[in-house]
Amino acid sequence: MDYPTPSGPVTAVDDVHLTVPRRGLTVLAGPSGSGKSTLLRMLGLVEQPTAGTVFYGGEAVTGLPHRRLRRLRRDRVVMIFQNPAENLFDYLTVGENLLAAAQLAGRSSAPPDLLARLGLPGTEDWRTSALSGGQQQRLAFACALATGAEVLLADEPTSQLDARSATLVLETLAELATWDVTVVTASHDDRLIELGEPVVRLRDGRIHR
Amino acid sequence: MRLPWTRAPRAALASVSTVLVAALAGLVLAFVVTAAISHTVASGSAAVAYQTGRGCPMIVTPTVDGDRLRPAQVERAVRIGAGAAARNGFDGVLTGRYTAVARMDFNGKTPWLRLGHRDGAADHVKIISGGERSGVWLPRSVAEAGAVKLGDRGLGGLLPPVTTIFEDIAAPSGNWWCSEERYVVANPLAGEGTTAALGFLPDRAEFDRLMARMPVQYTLTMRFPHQLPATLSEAHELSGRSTALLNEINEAGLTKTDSLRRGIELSEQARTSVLLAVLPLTAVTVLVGMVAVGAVAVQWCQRRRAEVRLLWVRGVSPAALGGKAVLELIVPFVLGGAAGVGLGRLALPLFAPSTALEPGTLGLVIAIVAGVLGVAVLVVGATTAVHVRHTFQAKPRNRRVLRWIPWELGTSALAVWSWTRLLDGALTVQRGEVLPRIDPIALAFPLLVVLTAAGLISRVLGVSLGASHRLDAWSWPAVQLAVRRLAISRTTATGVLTVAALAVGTVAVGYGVASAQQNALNDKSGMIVGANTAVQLPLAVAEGKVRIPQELSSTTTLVGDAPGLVNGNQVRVLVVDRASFKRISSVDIGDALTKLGPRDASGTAPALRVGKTPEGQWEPVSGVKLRTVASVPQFPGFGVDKGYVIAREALPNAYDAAAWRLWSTSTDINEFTAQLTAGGVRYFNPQSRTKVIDALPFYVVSWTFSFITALGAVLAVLAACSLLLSVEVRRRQNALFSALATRMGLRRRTLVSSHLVELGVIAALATAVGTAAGVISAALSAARLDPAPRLAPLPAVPNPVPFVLLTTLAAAAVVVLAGAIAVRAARTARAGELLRG
Repeated sequence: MDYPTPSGPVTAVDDVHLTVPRRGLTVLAGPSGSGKSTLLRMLGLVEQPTAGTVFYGGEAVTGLPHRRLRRLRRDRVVMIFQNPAENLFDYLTVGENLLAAAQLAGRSSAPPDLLARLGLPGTEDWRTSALSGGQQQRLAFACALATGAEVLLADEPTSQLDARSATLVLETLAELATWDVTVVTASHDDRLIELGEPVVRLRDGRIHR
Repeated sequence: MRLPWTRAPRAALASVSTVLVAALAGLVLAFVVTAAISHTVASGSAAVAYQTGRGCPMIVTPTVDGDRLRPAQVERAVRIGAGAAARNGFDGVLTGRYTAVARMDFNGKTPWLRLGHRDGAADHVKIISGGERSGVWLPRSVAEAGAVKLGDRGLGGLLPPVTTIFEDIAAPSGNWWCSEERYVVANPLAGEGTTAALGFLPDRAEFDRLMARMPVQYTLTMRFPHQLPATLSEAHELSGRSTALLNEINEAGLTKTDSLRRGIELSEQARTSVLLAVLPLTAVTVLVGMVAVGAVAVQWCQRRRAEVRLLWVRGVSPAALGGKAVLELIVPFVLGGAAGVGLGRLALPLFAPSTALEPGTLGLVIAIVAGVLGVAVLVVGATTAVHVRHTFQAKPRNRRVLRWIPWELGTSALAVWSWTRLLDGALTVQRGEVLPRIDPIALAFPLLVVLTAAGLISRVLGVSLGASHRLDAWSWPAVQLAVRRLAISRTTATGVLTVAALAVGTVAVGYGVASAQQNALNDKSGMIVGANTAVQLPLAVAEGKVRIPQELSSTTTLVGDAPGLVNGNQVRVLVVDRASFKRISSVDIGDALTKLGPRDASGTAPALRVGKTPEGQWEPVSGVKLRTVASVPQFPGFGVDKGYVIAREALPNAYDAAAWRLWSTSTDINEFTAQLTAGGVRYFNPQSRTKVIDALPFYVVSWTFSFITALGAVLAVLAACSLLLSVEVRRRQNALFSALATRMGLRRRTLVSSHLVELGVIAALATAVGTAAGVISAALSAARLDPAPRLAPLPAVPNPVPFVLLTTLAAAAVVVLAGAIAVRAARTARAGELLRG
């Protein structure tokens, strides 16, 4: 994956061959600038690789028309950003955020017990600003699940949280690893890396074995 | 509709600045459209008001006149006229009956007199003695000439007794008598027996009985008083009824006139001229407004980037995101639009030539504003969709090249094209037309110059700021900080500078050209009349046999006028009293009169040469020898004529001048003539500079540029709001920097100075460039936008110093206000909280 810059193109990810298991928590680990977020965005169909192909369930999705990609993002894959607030609509309540996520994916409602299962019972009518950072990130995962997506991609989900909030997110990820979804996160948080199975280590845009 | 879209209007509040900018954009678009439509409609109304108010109101409605009619014919005509008036919605018919002028014997003396009757005449004269509403009412001049007393009977007792003596009716005779002046006001210049003052019988029956005993035919006038139309549609409606009324009066020997129709034609021409001039300007402004609306959409995308990205990664299409932007911004657009329509209506007296609008104008305004706002909403949706697509779907590419395209070259090329059109003549009068046709392309010249100047200065600022990182001015920390802050917000700074320079320049152009037209109208009419008002006087006044009232001595001057010939060409010799002339003249003549004086030993008078008349020694009028001692291109009172000016003491005899006129500084001709009448001075041929030339062509140009001034004022408000908003948007960023910098030792005075320098640079550049471009281009245009080029002087822009001072003060006020906002944010900020975010 190349990016144009004033001083010429920069290669962010290069020669990466990776298969993500259907279930469990895959962690992309590595220092800043190693290419893990770029790789995650390519998996999330947010960016198209300059060269190479991304497959979903055996289907090549690279080069598909925008309309097809949009449908894939809507139905099958969800990205969660590192800033918890950027995953939510701050003018909607917790319950409305869940409903909005479901409606965007063409569903009439979110699973009723989702909040309880992710440790946010009784918060349906809360403003999102009333939640802590960790709770907001949990809600983000809840919203992702409300869409019915099979693949959850989380970019540094604990990087902007204090230790206590980060723990809440780690618990959520550990829980999700047992569910019937694919979870991929990019992180350099050691506690999160410990949860990963497999852990893919990146350095200078390449997989470091 | 799905959830985020259903809550879009509430979500808009997450970005208050975007909402404000959207409301402002809606306001400006709606105001411009409202102003353009209202201004055009108001121009038609103002033209109607001018056409109907300039002359006699009694002849705005139809007039019917008949000469040498027998009493039976008159009665029949009046009966038909009254019926037609009632059927066509007129207030009634006002009839006047006048005999021919004849000598009438009173006590052996036979003064010239015209007898008559006009309904209600007794209520419209100034009674000197008597007042009984019967018998004969005589004017003072006739009573004095015939030594008539109350109770005397003329024509050997045939006439009823004189019951009242009243003040002579004199021109200008006022709104009630004005249509009858040729029958009721004696003209001293007319031949013996052709004119006389009016004596009348207030009782119609008595008048009829007298006419039955006197075998005379007489003149009938029928007037149909009506409220004057305020708008073109009212004028059309009145004209329709006037035509219907006149069609019903088909008696032989009657002359029917409908002068309103011509007034309507001219008013429609005026409105069309204004419309053609205003339309392209409005279209360009609306287009610029649409660009601003696009910028609002881009700003929305930037301010709501996190949400836009969230929705996009969840599979929402760019078009749907455009729809969300529309849903969020439509409320502020509509509210801003409503405010713009309201503001346009409220501010109408400030920029439009009239406040009288056609019925349905508001509906038309609302419909077109709705259409424009509809387009604006589409622009928001489309721009958002395109921007989202560029941001998230298109491959990254370098778009910096757009910044280097010299857009100013385009506007400067248009300015050159416009200038060539201006040189060819921006105003052309077609054969058979009174009003000039305005070339809208030529008219755009000053605005294109301003636009080019604004673009150039913004580019210079942008390039300078781009290279400003090389600047090392830490010895002036306020300057260094100001430059760095400007460089950080380079796009905003150049944008605000463009709008501000455009605003100042536009106001300068509008104000300059409109004022130039008004001044030219005043000066040109002053060149004809000589002063504000003037009347012609009998020779006896020049000979000193009749004295001008003492109270007029400081406000009047006596001027003689002698037509003559030089080399077979007609010239005029104006005879002036040097002492009083300079004080009275409507036009500044400098020290031109100082070289005049009495005749020399050879009997030759020093003379001022006016226009292209021959120099040297001449005798244009028999007995008046003169020698030119100085030349002037024009002189008050000459109008388009040429000739010479000599001093009063150089004229051998008062009768060497064919006419003597008294020029006055009084702007009210009625007041001036009343003072003469009260002083016992007979006068005739009164003139006022407000009515001496047809002002409508000047007004048409002036109205067009008044609209440009209004546009400039809106842009100025927009620029000021943009500046304040840009400060508010960066409040947190500035506050953080300033709070930290002051804690690290930056003096508060330096902080304040840095903000004042930062904002002052933009304001100063905008004021300097806008004023310079506006004033210079207005000066170049004004002289070429002359509806009466044969009459000196050419239109010239007024002294720009007051405008520059006012603009500088306004700019300084905005800078101080914006600076206060920025400094207050910094002073009240708590660094710890700011850092924690």
